[in-house]
Amino acid sequence: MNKKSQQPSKKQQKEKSSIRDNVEMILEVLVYVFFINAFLLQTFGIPTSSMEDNMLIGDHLLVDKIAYSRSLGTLDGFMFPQLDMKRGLTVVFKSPPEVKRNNMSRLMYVKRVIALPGETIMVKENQVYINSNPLHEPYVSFKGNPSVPDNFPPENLSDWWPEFPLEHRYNLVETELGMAYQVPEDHYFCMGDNRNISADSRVWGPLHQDYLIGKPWRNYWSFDAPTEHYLNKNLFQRIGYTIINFFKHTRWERTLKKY
Amino acid sequence: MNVTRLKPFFFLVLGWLMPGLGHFMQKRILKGSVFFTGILLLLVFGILMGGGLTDLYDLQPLTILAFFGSLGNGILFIIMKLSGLGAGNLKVFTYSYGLAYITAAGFLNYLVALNAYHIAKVKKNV
Amino acid sequence: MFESHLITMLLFSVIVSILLAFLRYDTKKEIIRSALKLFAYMVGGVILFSWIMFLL
Repeated sequence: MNKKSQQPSKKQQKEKSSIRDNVEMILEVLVYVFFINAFLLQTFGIPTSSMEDNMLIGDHLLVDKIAYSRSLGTLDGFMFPQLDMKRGLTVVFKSPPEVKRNNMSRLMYVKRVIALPGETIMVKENQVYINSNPLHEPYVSFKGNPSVPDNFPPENLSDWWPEFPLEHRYNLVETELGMAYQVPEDHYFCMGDNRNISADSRVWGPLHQDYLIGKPWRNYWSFDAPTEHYLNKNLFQRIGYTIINFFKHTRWERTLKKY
Repeated sequence: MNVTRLKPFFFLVLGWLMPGLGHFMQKRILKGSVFFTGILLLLVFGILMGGGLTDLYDLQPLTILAFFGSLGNGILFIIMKLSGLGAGNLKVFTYSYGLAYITAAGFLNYLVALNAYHIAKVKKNV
Repeated sequence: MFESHLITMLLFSVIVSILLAFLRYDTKKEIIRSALKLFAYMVGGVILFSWIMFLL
């Protein structure tokens, strides 16, 4: 009789503690998730075609947080494979305050570094010149209706994009090819690969190095959907669309693609 | 106050409200001190790094989780919110580190509160 | 100091591994062992995987 009365409460105890165990396990895992997110890898989904054809709308990539991280000295830097910034590297970064706050604005962007601090950059009819030398850019494309002019810096004062910081508009240098823009210290000049539509440093100015988040590493899932889907604020609609179209619209061949 | 007469749920709430309080009240001084110090350090370092609390600015899974983590800090969440310390500085390079510190502090505080609850429950069942 | 990826990661790992060890265990020996193990996994894991990402 004692056993009978003890059994339900023991069972109850076990059930309760297993729920609590699971909750505690989930909480601990979440600590690790945010640890990994800050110090190792972050996820990022591409909502626009500004980096086509290298990154498509719907590419979900893993961002390497180590590559552009910093160190204090040699021992410190020796631990991690940190990279020195080079022309041509792709960067994921926090949106600088100059980026227009409209319904297209997000918190993270991905572009390619084209000019380094101190270098001069000029774009003439879509050809980029770094320190007056033409740059060979095999990654570039010109898709969609051009919304960004094919010359930079603009010839007239009135042609600067309003978002381009005033204090940076005077970094102009006379070169044999014309007026070039000199990239300020601690900044990078970034452009999207799809030059026609990419809102980048030509529009909102040079990117300060403190805004860097990481380097695109690999794609883990590529889902073919229009930009509207990725900018849709209605989470349930997005989840529904994704579930329904998961097998049909996933670009399986892009899984694990290296950037 | 006879602490053993209080329901375990009370220690869960107190433990969430102030890191380690649920343990202090049950005479677990060492554990309470460690939890209080540890979580406070995470928050202080997080704020020094420019990190902040997360609002529900969109419904991405990570945002929801970060918001939930921020809430885990109990009364310190309220203090940070009201004083402006929880605003965070997105412009600083160390912002993402700070954010991880503050969010992890919150999740750990939930665990600390559950631990205090567990101690009270075990005591009650004995 | 906080700009250093290594230092910031180490600091986080130290505090979190100590807290998690105290949460899980009660005896001094178990706490110390668990904290050290957790710290090693966190730090070692990040360093190892960072090189894997670099090399792959």
